[in-house]
Amino acid sequence: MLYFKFAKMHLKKMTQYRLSFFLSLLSQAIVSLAALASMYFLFDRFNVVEGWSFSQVAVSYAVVYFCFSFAECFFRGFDVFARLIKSGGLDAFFVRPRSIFYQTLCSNVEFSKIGRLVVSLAVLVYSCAIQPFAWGVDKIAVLIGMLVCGIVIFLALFMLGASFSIFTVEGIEVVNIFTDGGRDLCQYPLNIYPQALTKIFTYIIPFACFNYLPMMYLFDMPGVTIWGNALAPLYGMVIIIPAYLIFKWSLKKYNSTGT
Amino acid sequence: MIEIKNLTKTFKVAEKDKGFWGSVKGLFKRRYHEKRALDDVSFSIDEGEIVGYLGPNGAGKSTTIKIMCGILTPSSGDCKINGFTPWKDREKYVKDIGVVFGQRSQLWWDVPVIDSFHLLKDIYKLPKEEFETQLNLLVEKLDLKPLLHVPLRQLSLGQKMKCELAGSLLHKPKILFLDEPTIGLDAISKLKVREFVKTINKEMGITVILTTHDMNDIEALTNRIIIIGKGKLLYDGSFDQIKYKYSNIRTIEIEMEEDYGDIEIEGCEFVSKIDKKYTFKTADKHFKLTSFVEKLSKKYKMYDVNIDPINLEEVISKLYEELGI
Repeated sequence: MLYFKFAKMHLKKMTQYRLSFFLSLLSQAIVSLAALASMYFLFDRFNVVEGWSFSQVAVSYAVVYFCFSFAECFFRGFDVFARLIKSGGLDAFFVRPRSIFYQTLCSNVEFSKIGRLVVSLAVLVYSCAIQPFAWGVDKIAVLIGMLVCGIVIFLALFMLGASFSIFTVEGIEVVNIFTDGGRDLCQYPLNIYPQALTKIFTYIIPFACFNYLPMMYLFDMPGVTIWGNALAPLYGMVIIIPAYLIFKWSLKKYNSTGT
Repeated sequence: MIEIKNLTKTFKVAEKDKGFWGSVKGLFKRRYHEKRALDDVSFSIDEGEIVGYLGPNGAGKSTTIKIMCGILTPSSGDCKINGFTPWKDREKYVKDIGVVFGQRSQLWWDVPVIDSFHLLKDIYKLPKEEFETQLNLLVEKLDLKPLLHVPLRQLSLGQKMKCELAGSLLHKPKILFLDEPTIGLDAISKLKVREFVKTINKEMGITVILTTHDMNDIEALTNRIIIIGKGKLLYDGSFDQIKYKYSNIRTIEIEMEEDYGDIEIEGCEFVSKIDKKYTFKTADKHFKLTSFVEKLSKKYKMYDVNIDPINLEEVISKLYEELGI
């Protein structure tokens, strides 16, 4: 598949600058561990936050971080779309017989983000293992659904950001409020935040669909339902449809730059 | 093969107010005005032609090329190439075209050229054998062998252009768009690029549309030129005709023995004087150098006389001037 051939090329490219590659790998890992540590010290003081224990929040953290780093690593092309427009690289995509979506996907694989990915995966495995309940097929399925949904949502956000940058040419920070901001916010279960914020991150940008809601199912919290909680990741993934349509529409409005 | 009718493209340009508060205001409220990059442009190009697409900077050359390549959607008008409308049937259409932008690379910067070529093979889904034959052919014609395993960023501009050309032809396109292919190249590289373009046009029957500011490109490659200015089509016809039209413009340089100040003389326009070197210009078809020299020698003492026909750059700038662009 073309994507893997491109991935191989990007890897080759990065190994040319080996030291820089390893350093950024390391720094990514340290940053994500630091976030986890700050969380640990918080719980060390207060033990439980709004009914959530440290091991539960660790799952939340790991899911969000895993999904975010996965998207950042493998869908990086959308994240840095503004650069593509400025450099004129996007023009080249148009003259090749593949969809712009697919070519953007192939255009960038950021292997240095794997540091974060590995750390979050390790935290995920560990925090799942220390849960007091047994992992049945249903819960494993929900967990996988959460991961897939999270990755899809971050991809959708990157695509929306890319669509914006077609009009502004400059990448805009507004999108980062939702990607980076959403990521940091959703490390904690959403019920610790004010109502309005919870609503935004449930109905507009469905972050709740891949951590807060299904997690309540995982941890057998009172009042959970299959439809409302276990299946929430399926609803969340729907965001990819408008994101894709907006992306396609904005490409029609693309005005290229310079000569 | 290429049929363009009444193509118009307008861009919305944001108006910016001056100063700090102007730009702050611009964040919230923006006024736009429309800029017509292309205004009712029509022309057609037959299979196997080489066409020079000319015009000063900002005339709308790149906009036209970008529309023809499927990058931009025009505001109105029609464009049929190979039976496709580029911006509508983009993915099917671009299989048959090759595009080279002189100002930016389409190959991958950090990897050896051959890796880029292999990626292109996969992007275009070329059968292995077909790809190998075409690659070998291009490598031979462009003398690429020593460059294939070097990362693109380490190549010189001329070498890069050769690789770009090869990359744009791997999938055997029927039409090749060249947007300023000789920009910044040294004389030898320019010659090589021209020679190569001529060859592929002759041997492979590829239709070529090129934009350039170097009139020698045109002189070497084609007789058909299309001139565009301020978005409007101004000329579509033979280059020879234009050259002929201005061929009577000549420059005469005369070195005098003494400095005579400004010289006014009938039948020839005094242009400039540097020290004892005088320059005259004439557009008179019946101008005779001998009688002019004779006239001058009656009054002045001359060392040396030199007459130059107009050069190509002057022809085109003269033409632009006349067309009002």
